[in-house]
Amino acid sequence: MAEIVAAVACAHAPGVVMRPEPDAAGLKERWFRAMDEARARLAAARPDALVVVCNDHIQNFFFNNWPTFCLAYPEEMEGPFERHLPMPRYQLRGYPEFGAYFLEQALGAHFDLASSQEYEPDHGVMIPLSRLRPEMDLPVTLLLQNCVQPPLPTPRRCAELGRFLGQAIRAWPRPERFALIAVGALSHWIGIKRMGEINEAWDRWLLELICQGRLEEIARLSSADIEREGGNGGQEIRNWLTVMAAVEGHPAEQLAYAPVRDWVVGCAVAYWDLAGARR
Amino acid sequence: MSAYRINKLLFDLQMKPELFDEFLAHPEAVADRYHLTPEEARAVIEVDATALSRLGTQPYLLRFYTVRRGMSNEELIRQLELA
Repeated sequence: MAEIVAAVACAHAPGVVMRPEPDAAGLKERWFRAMDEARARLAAARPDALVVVCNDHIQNFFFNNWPTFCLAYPEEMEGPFERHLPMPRYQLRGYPEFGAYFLEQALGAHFDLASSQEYEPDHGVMIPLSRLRPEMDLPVTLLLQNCVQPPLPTPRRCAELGRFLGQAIRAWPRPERFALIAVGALSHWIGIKRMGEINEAWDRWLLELICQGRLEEIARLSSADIEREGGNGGQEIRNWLTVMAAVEGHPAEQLAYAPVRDWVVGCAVAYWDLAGARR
Repeated sequence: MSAYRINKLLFDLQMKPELFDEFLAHPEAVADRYHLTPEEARAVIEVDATALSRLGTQPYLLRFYTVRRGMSNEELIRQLELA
């Protein structure tokens, strides 16, 4: 049987590669150092496969056919989608056998996921992976949740899906070690009024709940609650919640909180150590 | 879904580099093909983020389009404040 040995949650702002130059407050450096720490811990946890819980930024799918939840499990992937970003393009291996298994299990458990066997990950996946596993040597499965085009799935449904993801991985018959990665920033406003604001108080409140494993208090938030306090971008906390639910009962460690103005997002890094793996 | 056509054009500009090039060379012709109204076409062609936001353009598509057209975050923020 498989096990989940680690989980990481982190921001994925394009600013990470577009504006990496140091800021006066040293916040970018704080986030970069925390990502280095997460990379080292992840390596020490010796995962065999990754599942990334993420969202399409309207860069593969459009509103003619827009999935609320979608499992992307191609044989191979290449990214980032955005060729103008100043970062390398990477080749990734998918894990189609696991993807097919998970899809069948999910549908059997009444999680009616869409699926995609051809997918080009955008900055949201590739910026975190390039920092957390630059070797790009592990097979990657993407669980996509709609965080950008209302109406959005309820946080509670995302938590239920996460709980199921955890169960399905633990029931996968190969003796493999999985790591989960949740991507998305905390508060941020994208392409609307208030862009540039960061709600530090809300971010810190959320991080405390996440680190203490207080899932219910996040699951009961509405989309309107999140929009008001965390902006349209803050809807990405669904990805964090899903991973939190997959490892339910385990506290996380906050490796950094960095409200980076140049990146227009509240950035954090959290790590769940599930195997006692340490350097 | 009033902004569907604008969103479709911005999405296709992301997806199809050859369309992006064509749009830079012949913006009106491309806007016509997407059945944009004159007001919608002007907003897209002139990268008028205030107008695009008022027209209901999807915020992420708006942001990525302005990045592709070389607009800084600071300028986008300024224009969105006016929306």
